[in-house]
Amino acid sequence: MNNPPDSDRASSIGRLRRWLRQPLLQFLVIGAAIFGVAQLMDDADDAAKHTIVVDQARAERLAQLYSVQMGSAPSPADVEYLIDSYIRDETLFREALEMGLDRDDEIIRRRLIQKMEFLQNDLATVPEPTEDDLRQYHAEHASDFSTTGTASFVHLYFSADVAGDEQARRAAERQLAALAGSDAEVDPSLGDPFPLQRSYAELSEQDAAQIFGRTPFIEALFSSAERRWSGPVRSGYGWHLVFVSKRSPPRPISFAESRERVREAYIAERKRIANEQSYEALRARYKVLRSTGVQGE
Amino acid sequence: MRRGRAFKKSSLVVIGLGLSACASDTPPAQTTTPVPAPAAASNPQRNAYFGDLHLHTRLSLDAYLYDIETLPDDAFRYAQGEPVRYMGRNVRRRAALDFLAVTDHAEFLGTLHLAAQPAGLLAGTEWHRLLTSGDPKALGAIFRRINAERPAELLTDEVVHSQWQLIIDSADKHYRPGKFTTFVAYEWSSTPGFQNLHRNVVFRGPKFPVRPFSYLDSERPEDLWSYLEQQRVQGIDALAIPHNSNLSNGLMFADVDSDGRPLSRNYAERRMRNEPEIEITQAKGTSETTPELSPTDEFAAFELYRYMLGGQKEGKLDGSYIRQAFARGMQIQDTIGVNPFKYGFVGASDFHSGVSSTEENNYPGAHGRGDSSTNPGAVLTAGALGVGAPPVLFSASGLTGVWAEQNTRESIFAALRRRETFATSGSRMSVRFFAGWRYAAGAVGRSDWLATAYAEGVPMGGDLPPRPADASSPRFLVQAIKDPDAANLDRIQIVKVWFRGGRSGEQVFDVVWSGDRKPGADGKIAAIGSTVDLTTATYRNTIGATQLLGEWIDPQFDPSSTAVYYARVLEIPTPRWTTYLAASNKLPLPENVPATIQERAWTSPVFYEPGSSKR
Repeated sequence: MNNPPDSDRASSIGRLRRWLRQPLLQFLVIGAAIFGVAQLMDDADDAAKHTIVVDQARAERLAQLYSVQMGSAPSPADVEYLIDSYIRDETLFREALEMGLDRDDEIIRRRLIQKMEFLQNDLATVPEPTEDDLRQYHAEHASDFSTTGTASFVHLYFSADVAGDEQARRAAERQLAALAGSDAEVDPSLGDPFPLQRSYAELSEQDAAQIFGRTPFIEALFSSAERRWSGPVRSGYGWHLVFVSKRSPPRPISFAESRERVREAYIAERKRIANEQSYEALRARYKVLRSTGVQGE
Repeated sequence: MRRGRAFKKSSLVVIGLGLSACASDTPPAQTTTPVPAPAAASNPQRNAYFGDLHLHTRLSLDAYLYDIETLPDDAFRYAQGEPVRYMGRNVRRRAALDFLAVTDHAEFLGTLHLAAQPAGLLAGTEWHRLLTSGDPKALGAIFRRINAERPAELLTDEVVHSQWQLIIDSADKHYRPGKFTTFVAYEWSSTPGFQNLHRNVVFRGPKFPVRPFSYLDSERPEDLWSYLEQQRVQGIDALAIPHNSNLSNGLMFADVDSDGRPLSRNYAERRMRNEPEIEITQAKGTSETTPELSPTDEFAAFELYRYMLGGQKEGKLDGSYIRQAFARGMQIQDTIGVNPFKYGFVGASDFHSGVSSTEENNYPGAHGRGDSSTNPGAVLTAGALGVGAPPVLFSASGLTGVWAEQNTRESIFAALRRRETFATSGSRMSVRFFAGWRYAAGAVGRSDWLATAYAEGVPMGGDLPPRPADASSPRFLVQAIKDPDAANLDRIQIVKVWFRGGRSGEQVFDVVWSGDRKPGADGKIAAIGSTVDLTTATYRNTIGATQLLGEWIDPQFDPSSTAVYYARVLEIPTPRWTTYLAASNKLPLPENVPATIQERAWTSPVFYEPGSSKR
């Protein structure tokens, strides 16, 4: 290769230097350098994103997960299979992230919310309540610590089995008209044979629901007028007419009898308050801009 | 048929050590303050009570690893209809149960729960450090070490007592005679060669043993029975209840014992004395029968779970299902004089969640993180989440119904012992089943038929008395009442299994059904149809009946055949839990399980023997 003469070299270097001092060019060169570095970094990042590492630690973790599920250690063939599955899953997972498939996915959103809730909740330890704390709680929440009321009643049953639901209800209505003014003592054959009891004494709401199902029948037991026939009202078995002979009001349970439940409720309440405060602290970091009705902060 | 031995001789040494804990010179058994007899009314014709006899809490080693937080206290509260926290949500049964037995695994009972406590017996140990290290690899490592090494410091009397006492205390705290019954219980989880021979042990109370007998003491059922017999001598009564014969690879009903010898009369007597009941349905499938074993039973393919524990291998059908076992038991009886498989039925959940959530539309999963319905997409599509099998295969099953005078430990335990029980696939339908030689035709239509049924025959679980010479067939009385919160009833069937002269057979008869369907040319009643809407997961009770009541005479009764009869009741089709989960999350239905289910009940059988009856 021929060297240019010294004087030509000096002038070409000088020209190069002048050229390089041009602001725009400097800008372009710096920009190119930055771009080049960024590209390099991207490539490295890209390389990292597209490199799936399966080292000894990973293999061990896969084997341990297997053991927990299966109750025994995996064979070498099992481990190979686990690794293959892991590589496959990891590939698809990363591709999905790159494509942004996690956005707008309701299930992923809910799962992340749930994880966040799980991490936030129960962070504070609740100190053991004093006896006074518990007594006060018991007094303030008396309605939580009473028995439910009970009802004693007689009923007539109208089954849909033979001629359908509508027919049973109408039969009940006709019978109710005929029973106007009657008291509890009626001939049971005015209704259909009922497989359980025709009358019940001092049944709580919970027991009644267990026997008759969570149905309007239960509400009727605790809200209908006493000492007269009413209905038709539906249970899990069909239609009924009901005669409530007596209702007993809820009875308070003493502190001594309910102490353990009071303690559990107290602690649960404290935890709930602490969790709520935890959330409020997070919430305070966000500004809400509403364009519907009243503006929020 | 001979089978290979499943047990090693060296277990004999372990038996000695295990039983010595039960000898009378050890500290007295744990007693509790005697509970005063309830003033609640006692019904001589017995009431139906519903409960779960198989449930795991955080005290079970595997349930702990599924990350559940529930303890026995929570389990008892949930069963009584109170809300409980599970997997980050409040869960609550729609209808309360009447009784519950929490049956945590005896092996390393409560060990991890104890090790995690900063002030417990294992505080300061390596176990505590590992468990609270926050290292995700630690749990798996602990589990493997525990299984492989069986560390002695985790099995000391002190450690075992502290956890066993937790269970006794919790059960006693929640026991309200006349209102809600709790049983002290545990699970003996013998699984030789991944073949399931598990039994739950349920104690009558009020006395309980010092410690439970686990499979670390012995894997042989015969040794478990020895433990129970020793306890009984000391006034501690308990029953063993086997389950998941469907996962036993034919071992549960093998015709040889743990040493590979043909069953003896003594073996059969001991088996029936210690375990008169078997759990026929639960989360890991129903063990009544399969279409292969019962090809003419169109309802035989019900909630079948064929994988063996610890893997995805299918087990042998032969010797794994109860209907076939009845025939085999009668055949063995022909030789040795006693039927070793003369079981009554109970149902249970075996949920590892601490909550008996057997209501199909109220099922949050049964294995903690492994199949929590807070992750519905994964649950519905996963091949095998953390539970070793596709979560959709699990059943939201089952419950036990007992006929007992009152809701107390003594009364319900007595019902279990005499087999006056029925199993359900999770709903609370009640079923009556009687057999007798002297019932008049039309007996079941009379208003006092129950009194007659008891007086002149035997209820489910009973042995028919010797046949009068002039009786051509027993008469069977059946009644089924729907669960008031669930679906109407489709039909009552009676299943007959018979044996004579080396040959056996089975047949299913439709006995009472809803509506005005008539038997077809094949003698069967047509399917009832379905009101299920799969997209909304709803159904309507516009078909079926609220109650079915009827009688039946065996048209093929042969006085010289031994026979077993049990009733099976079907509801109309309703959405399966997988359908409820898919619909409420707008996800597609899974393809590997049915979308609808006909919930059902199976009563304990009535047993007939030709000639003079043996009890």
